[in-house]
Amino acid sequence: MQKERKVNDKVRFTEKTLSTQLMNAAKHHIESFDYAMQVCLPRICSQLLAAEISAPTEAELARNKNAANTQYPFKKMLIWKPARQDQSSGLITYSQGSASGKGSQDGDKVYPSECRLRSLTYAAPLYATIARKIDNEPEEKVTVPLGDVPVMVRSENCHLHALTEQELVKRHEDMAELGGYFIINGNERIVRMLIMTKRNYPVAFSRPTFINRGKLFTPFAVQMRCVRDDLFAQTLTLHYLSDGNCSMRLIYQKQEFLIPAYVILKALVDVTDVQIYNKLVKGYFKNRQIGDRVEVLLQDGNKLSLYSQNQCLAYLGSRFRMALVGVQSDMSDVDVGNFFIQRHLFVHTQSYKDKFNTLCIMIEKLYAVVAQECELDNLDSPSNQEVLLSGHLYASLLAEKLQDLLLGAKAKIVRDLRNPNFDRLQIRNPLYMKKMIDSQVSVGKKMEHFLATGNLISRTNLDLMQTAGYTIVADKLNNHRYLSHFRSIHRGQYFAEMKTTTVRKLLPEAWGFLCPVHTPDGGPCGLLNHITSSCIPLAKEDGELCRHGEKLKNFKALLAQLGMNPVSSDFGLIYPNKYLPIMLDGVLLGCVDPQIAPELVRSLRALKIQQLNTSALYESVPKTLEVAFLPPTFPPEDDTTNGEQEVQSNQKGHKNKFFPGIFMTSSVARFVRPVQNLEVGGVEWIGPLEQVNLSIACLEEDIRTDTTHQEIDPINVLSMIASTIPFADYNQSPRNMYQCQMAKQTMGTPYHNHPYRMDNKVYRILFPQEPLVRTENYNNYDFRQYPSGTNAVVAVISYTGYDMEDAMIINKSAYERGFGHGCVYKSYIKELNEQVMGGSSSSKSRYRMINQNKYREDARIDLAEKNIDSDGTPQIGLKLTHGSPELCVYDTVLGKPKYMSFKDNEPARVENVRLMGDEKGSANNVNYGYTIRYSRNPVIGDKFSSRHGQKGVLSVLWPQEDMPFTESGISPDIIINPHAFPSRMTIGMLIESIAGKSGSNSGQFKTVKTFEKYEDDDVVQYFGQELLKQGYNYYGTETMYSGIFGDQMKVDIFLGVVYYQRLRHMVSDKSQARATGPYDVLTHQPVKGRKKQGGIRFGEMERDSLLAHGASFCLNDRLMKCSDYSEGYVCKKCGSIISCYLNREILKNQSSVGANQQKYAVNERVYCRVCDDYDCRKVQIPYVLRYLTNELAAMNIKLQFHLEPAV
Amino acid sequence: MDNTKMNDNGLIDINEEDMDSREKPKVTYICGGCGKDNKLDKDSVIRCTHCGHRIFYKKRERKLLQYEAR
Repeated sequence: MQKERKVNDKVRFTEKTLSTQLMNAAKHHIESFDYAMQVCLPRICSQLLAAEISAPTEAELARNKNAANTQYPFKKMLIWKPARQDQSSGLITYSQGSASGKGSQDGDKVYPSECRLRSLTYAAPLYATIARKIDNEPEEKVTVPLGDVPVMVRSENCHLHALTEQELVKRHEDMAELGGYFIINGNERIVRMLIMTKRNYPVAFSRPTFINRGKLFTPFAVQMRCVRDDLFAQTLTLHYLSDGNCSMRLIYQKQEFLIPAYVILKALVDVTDVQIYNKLVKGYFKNRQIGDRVEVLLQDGNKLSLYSQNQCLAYLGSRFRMALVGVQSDMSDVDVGNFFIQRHLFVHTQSYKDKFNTLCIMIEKLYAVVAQECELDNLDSPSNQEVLLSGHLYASLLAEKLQDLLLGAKAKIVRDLRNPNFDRLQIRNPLYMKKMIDSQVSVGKKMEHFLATGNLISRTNLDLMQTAGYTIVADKLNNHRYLSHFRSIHRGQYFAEMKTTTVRKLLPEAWGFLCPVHTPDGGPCGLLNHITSSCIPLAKEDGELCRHGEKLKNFKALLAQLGMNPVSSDFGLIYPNKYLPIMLDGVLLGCVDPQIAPELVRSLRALKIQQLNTSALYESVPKTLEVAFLPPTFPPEDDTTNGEQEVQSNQKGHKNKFFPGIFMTSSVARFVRPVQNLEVGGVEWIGPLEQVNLSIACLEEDIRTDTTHQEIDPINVLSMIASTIPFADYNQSPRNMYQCQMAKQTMGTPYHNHPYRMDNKVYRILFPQEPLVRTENYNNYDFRQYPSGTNAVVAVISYTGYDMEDAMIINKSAYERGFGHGCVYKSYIKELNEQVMGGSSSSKSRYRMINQNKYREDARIDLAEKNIDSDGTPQIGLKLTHGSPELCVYDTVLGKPKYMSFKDNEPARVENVRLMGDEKGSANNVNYGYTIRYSRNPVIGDKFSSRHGQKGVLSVLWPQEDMPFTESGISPDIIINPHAFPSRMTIGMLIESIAGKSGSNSGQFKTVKTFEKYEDDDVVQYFGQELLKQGYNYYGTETMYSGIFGDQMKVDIFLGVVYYQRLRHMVSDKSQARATGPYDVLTHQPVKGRKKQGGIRFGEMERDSLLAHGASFCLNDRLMKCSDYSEGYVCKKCGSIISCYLNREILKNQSSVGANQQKYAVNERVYCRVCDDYDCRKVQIPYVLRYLTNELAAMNIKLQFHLEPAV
Repeated sequence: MDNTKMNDNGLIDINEEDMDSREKPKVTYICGGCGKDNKLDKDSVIRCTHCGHRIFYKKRERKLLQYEAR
């Protein structure tokens, strides 16, 4: 009979599952985290410097062999899934760890919903296996816990990974739980995407400020952001010096270093200067400049007396020995030089040969730019940019923190070893090592701090430009806003302060990757962009080309087959200057004859699209490989033509648009988007750099003879939000921008799992509808599951006078039927015993739950009278008003119940009360989670908007009987003023109105296509004909009758159905007025702030206005009487207001004189302490003046006031 | 009396019958993990007796709340 009732059984599902497009909206975040954890973490481990400890001295070594050379490299890193912290903090061996990690019971699992409700961090323990090696003894592996690191929701380390919608709902999640964020202290935080310079690609640019860097510096530089496969980044900048030389600049540990290019060239290869000269000049003698410049570059060797590779390495070593982390004192200068090159120069390559070739390309590009042979690159252009994804940033920060941990532990061990009392046998004890690791601040805590604050605390700054503002709260106001957080991409905090607006410009290179419409207006305009619906930031590697392996070998072989001349280590073999370099991920693979190059690129592109698996060579081409063919616009002519012509053509501005070459990228963190390839047929994924040189037709009619590609759908250039605006192509562009903003401020349906969330503030609309007119992308992203508006019958008419200046009239009956009704939920936690910092243990258990204590009968009645249940919490559904008790606890010190009252002025109802215990399960630490509901039905002043940037405020609820009506008896829900249209030109709204009208009459939802061509290219024709068929006017107008007079209106009124959104800005959140209220203690002026019942500032400009009007009494009233009016005394003699005071003694003496006189005497007989006199006058002064006088007096400044008779 | 006899499932709750009449009525909670009803005893820890979950939702009572009907 005992029926088990499960909450989850109530859930019903529709047949249809959510669209994959919606579920993939945040996929790049999740994939980047998975990539970081699964691919990068092992790479990080192998790249981390082992903590090497050598024996302190020879003598000690002799005395105790145990202090011999010890190494602590990280071997393996393992991250579990979030679980309860019940296990003892003992040492866990690797096998144990993995067993309990996988086979943990369901009850031990911590799910995201619990973290949100209990304000916890969704984190999983991180374990590191450290292999300890002493001298030549075999390694001994020990696994140590490194604390709990935050885990991204729905990543592979999350329990929600790969769960179906039904399973998600069972875990108390929304069915469309996207993941892609972290839960830190119960808050959902996203690491926002950031724009970075394209990695492993030389960009040439000029900055006038470079001249100030030093002697001979010019504005020209070529920069390469080198990124290793474990995401370690080191930017190298090659500066052009005015004498023709080059200087390499790099920033290491926030310190700047300049190295002559010659030193690096020579340190990388052991060849003669002539060979380097030939390699760089490539027989390009025709243009003497380059030869001269290389000569100057090579002369550095003589200046610095560096003639061989070893000398150069030693030079580098001696310069960097002090600065480099991880250098052992027993390393020679050459070793340090090698160490520096391996770890900081061209980190994306491993071999010195590749590093040398990359540097050569950089030098060539720099000289080409300086010689005006090619144009400068634009760092603000998306073609030279890529994206920093959350997981990638997470991984690089984690790598640094792990390195810091090892270094910190090493320092500690070294200190112990110096201590003569230290038992050196300890060093062999695994527990000792664990102790050393534990003594450091936990890596998990550091990662948590980064995500919680967005502040990057780092030794090296990770080669990034900013230190703060990396994370944002994922605001679940509605689904539009929530989704756009995951797709927003910021240019960088640094650019926000820049006065120039060039960075904010919308460039043609952004086509298809960044949405031109979806950017906020105002401060972050153009800096905070959103990726388009088709753009995908690659979060993980596609193919393994960036790793040296079989695939790369095959790929090289394939290129050679297609006509590439592979790069050779033979310095005697020099290809002609006109040959184009072929680079893959910043590594020179070879070069190709410009005649063959187009064919090579075409074949490569075909293989990329077709993904043939017939041969290993073909298989090596990844689907998303970016093949950027930057062709020479004016190829250097043959050596037979004389040089003068060349110079002339250069002067005419005949220069290449780009530094020519074939630049291929297979690495992560770049944008790709699909387009149709017309030559090969099929979808090709293209990147921003290759897009510039492709001929892509937007529509069928744009195809020309040289067109190779076509857009799959022109809507793909818009973001998710922008593509949900119906008829956006008929609106004036800024209106679409406004709609993108307003869609994100709409009260809507944020999620469907309300009981299992406790966001601080949630807006919810109560009777939402699907829009009658919607776009294809609205369907594709399943926004219908999270509707945020209502279809309203809208009449465009100037009717009551209440519709002026964007005000709108709402039909009172429509309001009563539920139009625009909504509510606001607020959640907060009340702790039974609040954790006071440094509080004694007794204060932590002062309060107990009321039902746990026996109390008298009258207390019980008292509780019942106050509508509090016996557990001290209010009943569900109880109305709370200001001052009504909302929690009752038992005070063990005073021995009586303590009531806590509801503080808000607006009445609310109790939606939900939760009791939450802590991990330890102590009865004294109970948290009460409250969710209260404010009902927010539309009131005058609330903001509404259509989907076309047409916002307005509700000005009156007009009775339906007084509303205008049509012949068929329809009266509008909303009346807006026709003046809203001429200047704003939101034709899309008018068309939506017609389309909505037609749809509502025929009972169908109208799915419209942006940029779609209707018959004869005329939408009005299309929907007008439909209306005609339904018996309406072609243009959507109708004869209307005045609701007040009943007579027919002289003009027909435009009436249709428009989807209206209710915006979250509501008067009840903003209204602020006071007659009197709280005052500031110090100044006696009214406090500010709506929350505190404060006043609105009557500021300087308002003061000026009253002054100009000559309304001095009004001014006196506002600034004095209604503010900090006070009465005080001034000494006539010394003019002080702080030395006067009423002398009680004197008053007593005066009391004998007549009663009339006494009153007079009080005023006059105020004593000035300074003058020792009674010559004081009562005056009206603002209280702050008294305060100011006192403050100044404290600084030995006296204020004197002279009294003059009033005029 | 009827209210104390029956819980929301319409089943007779034996524990309630046995209770000392002087004891105040206990508040029922729904476990956030398994959805089963729980009651808090004196000094009991907030932890579901069935599944060990640590979040309890207060149950909405049958008791009438006075609403303003204007």
